[in-house]
Amino acid sequence: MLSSIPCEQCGAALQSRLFCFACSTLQHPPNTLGLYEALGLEESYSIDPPALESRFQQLVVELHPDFYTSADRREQHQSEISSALLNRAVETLRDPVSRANYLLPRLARGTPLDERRLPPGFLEEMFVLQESLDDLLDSGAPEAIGRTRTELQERHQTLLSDLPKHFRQAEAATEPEPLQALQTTLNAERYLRRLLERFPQS
Amino acid sequence: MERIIGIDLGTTNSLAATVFEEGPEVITAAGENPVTPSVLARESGRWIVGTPAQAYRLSAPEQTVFSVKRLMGCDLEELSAEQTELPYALEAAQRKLVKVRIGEERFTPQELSAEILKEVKRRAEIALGEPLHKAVITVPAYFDDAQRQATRDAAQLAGIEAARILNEPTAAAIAYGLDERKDGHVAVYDLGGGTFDISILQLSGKLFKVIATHGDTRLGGDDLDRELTELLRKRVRDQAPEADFSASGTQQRLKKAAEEIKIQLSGSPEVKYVLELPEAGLTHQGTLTREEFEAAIEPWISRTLQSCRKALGDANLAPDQIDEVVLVGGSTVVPAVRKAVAEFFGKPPHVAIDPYKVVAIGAGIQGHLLAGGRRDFLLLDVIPLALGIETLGGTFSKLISANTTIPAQATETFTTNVDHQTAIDINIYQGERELVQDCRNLGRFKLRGIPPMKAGFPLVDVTFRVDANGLLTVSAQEKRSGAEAEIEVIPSHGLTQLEIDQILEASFEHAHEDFNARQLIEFRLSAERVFRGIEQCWSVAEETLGAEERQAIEDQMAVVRKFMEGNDAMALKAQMNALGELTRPLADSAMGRAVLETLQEESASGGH
Repeated sequence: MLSSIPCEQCGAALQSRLFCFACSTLQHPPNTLGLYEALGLEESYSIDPPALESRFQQLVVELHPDFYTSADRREQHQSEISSALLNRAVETLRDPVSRANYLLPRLARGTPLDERRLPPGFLEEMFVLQESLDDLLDSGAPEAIGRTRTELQERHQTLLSDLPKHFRQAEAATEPEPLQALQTTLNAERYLRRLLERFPQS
Repeated sequence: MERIIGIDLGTTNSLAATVFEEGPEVITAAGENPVTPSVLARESGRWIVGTPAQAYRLSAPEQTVFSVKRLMGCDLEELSAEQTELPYALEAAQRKLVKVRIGEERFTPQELSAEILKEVKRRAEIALGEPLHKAVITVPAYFDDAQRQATRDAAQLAGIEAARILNEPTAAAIAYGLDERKDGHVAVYDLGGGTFDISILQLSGKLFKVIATHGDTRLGGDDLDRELTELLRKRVRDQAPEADFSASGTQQRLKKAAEEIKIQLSGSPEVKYVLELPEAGLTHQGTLTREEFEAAIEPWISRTLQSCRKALGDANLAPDQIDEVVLVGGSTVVPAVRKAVAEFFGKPPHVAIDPYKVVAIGAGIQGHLLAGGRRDFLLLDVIPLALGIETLGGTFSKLISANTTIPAQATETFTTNVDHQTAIDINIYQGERELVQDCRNLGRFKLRGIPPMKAGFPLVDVTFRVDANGLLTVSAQEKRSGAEAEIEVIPSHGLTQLEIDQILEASFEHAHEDFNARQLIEFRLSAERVFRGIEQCWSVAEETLGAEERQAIEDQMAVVRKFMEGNDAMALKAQMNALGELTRPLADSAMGRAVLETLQEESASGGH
């Protein structure tokens, strides 16, 4: 679903809502503009990383405030706003977890999702692990700490590699269950990530 | 196209650069040193800035101010460590501002920095022969918002529009990148007089992207000097246990000796020195080896490497993934620093560009770009420290995290705690810690005009915007009513616009006096040079001029001397012109021509 919105200036169909490559004009989109729309990419969890990077490179050299120092104030301001949005878009969408967290509420379209629910049995397992973790971290035994960290990292990695599959189901679904299942996975991911932050940096 | 120069406003030295037809280079008049030492001396209510002010460090330390950059955007508490080693006194002023006390007068660091900027600008204008209004001014990458705002305010006070506040290591990378044009990861290690920064950049095609930065705005060459000063002090004490070091002249003499020994140790493995300390009534001599110096500064170098490790971690890179290491800042000429950096990254650092000039040159190139001169590269910088607000229980809630590419924008929604509450207090902080008490308070933000509603009902969007200078602005809107909430940010360390206006107004009142005073200083200096010139070729005068003519010259020299002690710049100028007329016959000789040329040059440049 690529944008068919015309350029404010020349009317050509825009590739990105931020800038018209046909007539090199800065656009003035509404401030509710979505991150995918800003880049002119289809709103889907699966993205092509090189395409994301090349669209970013294409846009950043057109939007950056450095190139608008002699423009009027409105254009200067717009270039700053659009650059900030572009930076946020690429930083959010580049990372698989932040991309998931951005996309899920949009897929849910206002359906409330429980941001605390965790997979069955997950919490019990984590409680046990955390209890021994406190002792483990105090003990400072590097090998045991390393082993536990590797275990948690692998679990975290498994969650991440399941995300595309979950999203394919959620994006195709009409009922809310797959969406909540996805939210639950993301909640577990956040839990594991915070736990991993407690380990000393290698 | 109006020129935008680059200014490296350093802790110890400042200089300007621009892009000439032949390429980027520092700005300097023929035969002069491009560097303006960041030193100020107060003399009869006037500022003397740069090289002439340096002499005052020994003769009148209470009237001399240096290392102003260390004071920028800081409060007295943060500066307590500095206070003990600075010969001038600091006091707390309104909000968290600090002022420097000299005699009965008090100055903000912004005003003092403005004097340095004015001098750099003045010298650049003379060298380029055109008036200048805009500059890219560099700051340490790890400067926070308060320190950046203070720098921008200093520029405004100096009559310079800061077209961009640019990070020093990034400026160096521009100078390096355009020179070398190689894609890959570059680490810029910048150890200046008073600050340390490490930045990791990714160079790909026309994009220069900073991916991580770390640093310490309280670590620099000054610290190395201090270690060496301490070493000297110990030695003197070993020899004379009763020695009294309290006179500020003694302290400045020790400091100056340490600086000189440090420079010599970069070139030779040991240095013999003689210390004359008249205020303490003693002379001390000895030998210092490079090993002794290196042992003393080792802890400081380790601290810089810790920052390097942190920056690499943030960039997700190992030291061997860095393709090139660029050294910046005068302190990187110290062999121990070079060796430690080379070992850490496992490769010899790049030293093709003069580490003293590279920051100014990069700023000059960026200025040229901003002025519309070139579009063949784009620099993407980051904010060094997270920005956020205080939330319940004094925790720091980050809206924009460190190493986010700028410009950046983030919005968070807040609400009220009490029914019919119409205002919310928001405290803005910057830092990397979990609790606000460990972060820098940037200011207080009062959100007024919220329509009275039940607690928890209003939805107030607070937006943080960081521009390409790394400077923060905050705005807010209540979503249910759509009302733009009235906002008022009270800077914690900076000057309000009103205060800037007041300082500017005061300086306009003194503008005429200031102009006369500056001319007086310049004419005095040029009269001295003329005297030296006359002495040099007096033998010619004895051969070619009669006794009467020689007497007339000597009499006129006495008149000029008398006017040099007076306060009337134009009268001094008139007497110097008369002296010029009398010495004109000397031009008939080949040897005298040089003197006359000097005289004419001086009377031409004295008119600025």
